[in-house]
Amino acid sequence: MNLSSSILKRILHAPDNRGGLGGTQRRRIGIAAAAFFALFPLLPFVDNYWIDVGFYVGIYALLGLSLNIVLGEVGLFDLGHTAFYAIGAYVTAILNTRFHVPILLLLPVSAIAAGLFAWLVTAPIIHLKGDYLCIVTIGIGEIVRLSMINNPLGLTGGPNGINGIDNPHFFIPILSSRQFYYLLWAIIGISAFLLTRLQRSRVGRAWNYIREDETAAKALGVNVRHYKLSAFVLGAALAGVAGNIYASKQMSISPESFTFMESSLLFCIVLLGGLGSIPGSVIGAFVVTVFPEIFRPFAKYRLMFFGLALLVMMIFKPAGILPRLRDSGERLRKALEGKKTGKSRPNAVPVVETDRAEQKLLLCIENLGLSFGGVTAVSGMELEVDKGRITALIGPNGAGKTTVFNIITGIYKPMSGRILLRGKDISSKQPYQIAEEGVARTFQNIRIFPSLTCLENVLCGQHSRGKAGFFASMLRLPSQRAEESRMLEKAQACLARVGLSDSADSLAAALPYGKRRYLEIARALAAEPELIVLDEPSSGLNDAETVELAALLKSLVREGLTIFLIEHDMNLVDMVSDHVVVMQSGKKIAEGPMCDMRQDPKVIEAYLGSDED
Amino acid sequence: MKFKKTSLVLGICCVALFFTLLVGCGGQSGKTVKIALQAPITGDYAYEGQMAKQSVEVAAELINKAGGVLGKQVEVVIVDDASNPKDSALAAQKAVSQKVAAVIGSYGSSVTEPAADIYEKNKMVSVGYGCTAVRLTMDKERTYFFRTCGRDDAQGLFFGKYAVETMGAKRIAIMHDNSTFAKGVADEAMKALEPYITEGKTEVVYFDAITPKEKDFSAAVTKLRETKPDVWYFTGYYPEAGLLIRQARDAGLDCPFIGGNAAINDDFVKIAGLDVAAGALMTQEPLVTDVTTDIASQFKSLYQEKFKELPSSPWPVYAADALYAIVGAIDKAGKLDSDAIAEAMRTKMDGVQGVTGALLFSDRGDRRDVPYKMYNVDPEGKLVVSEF
Repeated sequence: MNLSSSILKRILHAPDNRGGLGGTQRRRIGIAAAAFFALFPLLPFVDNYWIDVGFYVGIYALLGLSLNIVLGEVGLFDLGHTAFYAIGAYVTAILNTRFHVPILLLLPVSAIAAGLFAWLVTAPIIHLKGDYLCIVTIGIGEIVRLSMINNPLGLTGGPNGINGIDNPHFFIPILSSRQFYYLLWAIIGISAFLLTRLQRSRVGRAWNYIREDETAAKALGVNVRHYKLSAFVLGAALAGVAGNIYASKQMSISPESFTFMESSLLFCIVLLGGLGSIPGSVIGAFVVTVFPEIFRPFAKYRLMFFGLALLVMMIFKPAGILPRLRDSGERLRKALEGKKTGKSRPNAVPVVETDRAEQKLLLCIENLGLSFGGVTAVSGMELEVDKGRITALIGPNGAGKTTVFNIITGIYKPMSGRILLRGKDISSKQPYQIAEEGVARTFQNIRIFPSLTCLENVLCGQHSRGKAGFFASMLRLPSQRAEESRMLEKAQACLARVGLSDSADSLAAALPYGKRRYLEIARALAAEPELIVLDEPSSGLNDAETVELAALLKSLVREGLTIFLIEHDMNLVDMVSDHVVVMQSGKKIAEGPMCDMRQDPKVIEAYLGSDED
Repeated sequence: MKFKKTSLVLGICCVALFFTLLVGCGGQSGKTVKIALQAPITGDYAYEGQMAKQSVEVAAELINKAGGVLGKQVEVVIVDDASNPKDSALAAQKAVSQKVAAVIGSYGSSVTEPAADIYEKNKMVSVGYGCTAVRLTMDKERTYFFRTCGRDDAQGLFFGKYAVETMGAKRIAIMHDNSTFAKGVADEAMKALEPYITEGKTEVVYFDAITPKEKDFSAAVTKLRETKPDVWYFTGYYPEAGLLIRQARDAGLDCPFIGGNAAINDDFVKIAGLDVAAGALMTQEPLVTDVTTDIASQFKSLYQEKFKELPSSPWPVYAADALYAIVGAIDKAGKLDSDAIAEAMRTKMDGVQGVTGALLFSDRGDRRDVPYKMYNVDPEGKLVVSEF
């Protein structure tokens, strides 16, 4: 049992995950909170002690935001996040005390160092799933802390740490508690602003897709490895920034500040605030910093009270205090348009122009073979899918149909044979590359992204058709805006195509089962594919719904799409397929039009067993 | 909307609590002299912190019974640093905000460091009581920081005096393990021996390091035996100490073995074996049980009366001494001004006594003539004060 994934599910599927407050109400509270943080140090009864408490709320808010990228957005359980914080602090301390590099100059240096370190240590382990990754991150955290204690090359000062770190200099020297407070909160403001932009971009959504369903994300063109690594690097860089400011404020650092307890506290902040929620991370930081301070007079019982408070919160608000609100389509569009209130350009969705005339053959499978251990799933499989037609793959259970699909979409690598898409061998490519080549799929047991809106689900298809990266998304470059609005339009068109326009802004989890199928199809359509691969699209649908589905599939083909499907429902196969391939025990046993297949003795035998004996 | 209400109520409670506590923090009032104790009341060393709190309370009661300071009573304010550098900075800021006259604290060295920086910035006298790292006073010029506990290397000084004057050793061997701590103690011992060497009273026949984590020290032991030492001081840690004494005795080296305060504990006895370990000596800060000053006896009886036991570690007593030092300095300065107090701590402390004896400070803020005692392992493997 994978503990981390079940925790993730529990939180994301909690009933209050959409949050109790509406968007505008929340925005008002946000403004009030920002005003509070801005004015707090100026209030008459606030002395330096409370300003410092506010400063540490800030440090934890920044760390919370940084862990939130990894844990909240991508769902990677990182229990060693303090390592990156420590790297930032130590880089600052070492370079400042030895070479007297100014602190603020070291701010980007610390960020880069921490990011680079994160890349180095997570690149070899990023493929690990759930709990395994979690355990390795604990290891990373401890190794970093112990290295600091062991004083490598006499750099870290061993258990005593490093002292005598300068104060930052930003036109004037930053010395007082108040100045530090404003410096830090300015940085938090900028980070939160940029992260919000990232959340509303192709990059942020890709992270969420991975968290929701890695396999589906992969099959729809998300380069999972790249986005997981980038989340770690970005999160680490932000933690490095926090380390830099912490070191200069404390003027001395020692390994005691970077213990496992600290990592778990950060974990608490993100879970408490709400996964993937930026205001949540700030609130979480506020709670874990201010509560223990308030409970200090209780001395020995302080942490018990604190634990109790956390427990109560988690019982009443399992999804966190301020769970992430998903943006409605309108909101996304508004955010894109920014100040120029111009209406959306009626940019006609271009129909994929395929070079229809040139070749008839789209997909060709030659001598395909794959076995798991000693069990042969597919061997010597031959198959051709013609352009502009519906090809169905049928066969009894265990015939290897889904395996063939998984090989086509790159989830499995074949042991022998080739897969040619438009005459090009794609068998060694990664799933996301195959999606980019124009193959989109749906899954046998529906894989949608439950806690994202339907629109966001469909936008996943468009992921492979865009290219805006981190900087373009954070700076909202014109090219990125144009791309985003094109994506939005396409996604909305695809939703409309399957008749789900009305549900665009509701969570996918709220859809009834039958509609989820359509959502999956819309998502695949949004990838602008040439070939769409459907794994048992009719399972779970009633007769009326099946007829409806058949009509949809046929109309899609008329628009120039090619469909390849696995199906058990012979009615549907009858209704839609131009060509049928029958599989048994990993081999093709017959092919032709459906009416011929019904007569074929080998097919009858495969389904009903032979009447000999 | 049950959840909303619950969170609302919780929120209101928090805000209310927050403001009550804010209001609770007043400034220095006229009737008492406020002195803060920064200690790990919670966290990993909470036990030490609690004992420090009790010790300081006992000392304050004794001081107040004797008339307080400048005609006012002493009031102890506790700030908790949870033995963690971040909390320590907050605790220091809290003590500063409460406008106390001076601060006692803190326990751990790397926890004291950020706090000392804040006190320094705010011109407030602070007196450490468990922070023994050398660099606290030697790396940075600090005007307002002092400590009543000895520096890590102070026991080396004690060893030097003891070896020559009490034991009359003519040939001394000093061994360390190149760690900052052990080398510091060894160097300090060497420094203490220099005047005796020039007088011709003694000589150092062996001064070298072993490699920690090794199991076989026969080369070092053979070399050591050839120098025929009268006494052998090892300043490193107990795992090596245990193996060293075992291997040395097996090789026929039978001069007295003295360990630094990291060399001898229950595990040392286990590693070396009781037959060999018994009789090994150690330079250490005395437990209050083994201190015999006047103030110590008053302190012990009041502590025993209030808490039914005595502090089980040497450090809490230094916290009480820090209070005696601060009160003494305020008394000598005649006012609550930080500069005057710091000045008095450096120059006017003649006659100021604490639980562990005279409280005199060097220019850098270290206590002068820190009392150490020689302990030895008795035949049952227990540590007792050595009677020479």
